[in-house]
Amino acid sequence: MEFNECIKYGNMLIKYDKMNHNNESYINIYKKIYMLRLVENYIKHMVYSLNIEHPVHLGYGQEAVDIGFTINVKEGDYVVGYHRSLGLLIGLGVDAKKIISEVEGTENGLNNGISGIGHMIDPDLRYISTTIIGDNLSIANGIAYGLKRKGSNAMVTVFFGEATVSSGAIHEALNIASLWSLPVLFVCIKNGYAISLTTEEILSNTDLWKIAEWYGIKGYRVDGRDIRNIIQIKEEIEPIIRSGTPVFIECDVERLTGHAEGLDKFNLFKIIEPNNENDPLYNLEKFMRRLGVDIESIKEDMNVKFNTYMQ
Amino acid sequence: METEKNFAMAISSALVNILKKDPAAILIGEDIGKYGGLFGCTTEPFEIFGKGRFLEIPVMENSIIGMSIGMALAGLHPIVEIQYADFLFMAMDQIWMNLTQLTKMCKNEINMPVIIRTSHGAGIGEGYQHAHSIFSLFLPLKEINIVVPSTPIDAKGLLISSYESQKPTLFFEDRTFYGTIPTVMGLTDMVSDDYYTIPLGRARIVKEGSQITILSIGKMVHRAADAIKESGVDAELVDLRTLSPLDYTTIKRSIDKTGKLLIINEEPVLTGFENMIVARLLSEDIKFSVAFVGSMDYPVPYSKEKERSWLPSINKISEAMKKLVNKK
Repeated sequence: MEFNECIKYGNMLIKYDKMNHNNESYINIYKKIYMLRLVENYIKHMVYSLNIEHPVHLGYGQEAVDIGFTINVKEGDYVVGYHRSLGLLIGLGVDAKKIISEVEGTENGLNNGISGIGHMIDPDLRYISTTIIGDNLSIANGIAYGLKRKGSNAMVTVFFGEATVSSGAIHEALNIASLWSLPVLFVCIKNGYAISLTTEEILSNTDLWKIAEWYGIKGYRVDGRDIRNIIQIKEEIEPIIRSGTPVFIECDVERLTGHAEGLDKFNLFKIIEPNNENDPLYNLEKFMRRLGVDIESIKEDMNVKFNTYMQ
Repeated sequence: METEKNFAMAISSALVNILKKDPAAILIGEDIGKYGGLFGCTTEPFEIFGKGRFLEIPVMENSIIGMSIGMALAGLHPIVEIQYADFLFMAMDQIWMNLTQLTKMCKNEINMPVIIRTSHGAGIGEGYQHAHSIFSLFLPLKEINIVVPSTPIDAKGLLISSYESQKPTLFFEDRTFYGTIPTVMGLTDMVSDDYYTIPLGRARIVKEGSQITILSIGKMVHRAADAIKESGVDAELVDLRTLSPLDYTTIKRSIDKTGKLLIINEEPVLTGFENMIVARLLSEDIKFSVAFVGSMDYPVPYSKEKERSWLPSINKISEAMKKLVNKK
């Protein structure tokens, strides 16, 4: 059946290597993804050195998905996040200090320390997030309906993990998005876990992209560890979504950290191991070195700037 | 023009006015289109405005509220009909976690102009899952209007005020009212076709009196009025109209005068807004005697006769009034 497409691991990378992309756009992408790494490292360090007691959900391992879908969000588009969405804010261009201060819970934070890490809102950037599993789906649908009604060409991208697919909310959301032809991109970031349970332990079918079929919409599966996959799939499906056809994408990543920093019990689960193919930053660096980009000097420059800025 | 309108017609008239005034207003709900809404409140708006202003949705209460939040973010003014207040439990998560919190989360930069209209209350024999009055349940949510109109005139004016407030609103319509013209103590049953408002947070003194103060809301205002006639007690009857915002000034002024307070609520006794009011009065060292009449603390029965005795009866209220008057 041609209706759903499963993009096999690797296929896209080969296809993409042959495409002609200028280094400049990759440098911009790299800078964002490296900034995200700097911010998350800073927060992680902050959590443990300052003994911050809030559980903090970091996105090690899903950076490519977060940045890839938000880096070139068009005027009028909305992004709806969930509890593990710092990457979306960096992708949208929110000031790093505002994000870090919000995680710290101080007055200088994006939402004055009121909303905290999981519920950040930025009306100007048309960004909103919720931490109750599944709540963000219907909000995304509502926004999309509003946009469509206004005759706008804009779209909504909503992010969630596989635990949302185990909740009933996904059914209501996909049904309505399809029934009313809403311009919504459903991005499921499958990181292998729902807190402590594995995907296999919570879902009877772990081919999540197949869920789209029943609703008569397109479902894709991509390797979310490489940002080139995300950029390509985004280019491919954007016109479809803007024409009023929702799309569901399963982005497979590895959760390279625990469920939450500050919750030691779960943090012992996994420790980030950079420099392997599960790390989106590593994958991008490898590719860019091949293109002849001087990664080390970009990194050094950003390290200095970031440290100065954060002082 | 003013015409005689039953409760459903008054609601319908308010909706027509709002839809006419505001192109961003949209009606959302189950069976609200050609069916006219379960209680007939949207028949006329549908005839006038047609499908374009109506969003007919399948059963998914939580998602309906979630979508309304999204629509509000995108600049629409959703007016949602949830058929029975009992179904609000399904939507509690979105109401509690998002609808009433988002505005405060981002320094009031966004409004949440979402009105949730719902029918409530026992009295038409539909059994306990279609009979609850649960308006007090939402009192901890400060960022939501809780409106419980008792007459068609109020229903229309308060609904339009709810719309104008640009805040989330829970609008409770008594299920026994729809086809009737519930008026109380000589209030006119004529309702204007024009756009008019009745301010939220302003109680109505239905009848002035000196012996006791009766606070009530919705259907129980009518019961209380009848009980006043039956008992002969010179009671001051206050229709609160909205629980949030609450007209505390009027409550306090009346109690200062009478020193005796009777609260009649169709929620099970001492589970509702009466607690909040009494606690606040006590915290201000106001001296008064108080009594309560509420419904029974078991599920709303299906049998008509048993359902009737589940609700506070005129007789029961009248007895409570006499007892309070004689209290030293």
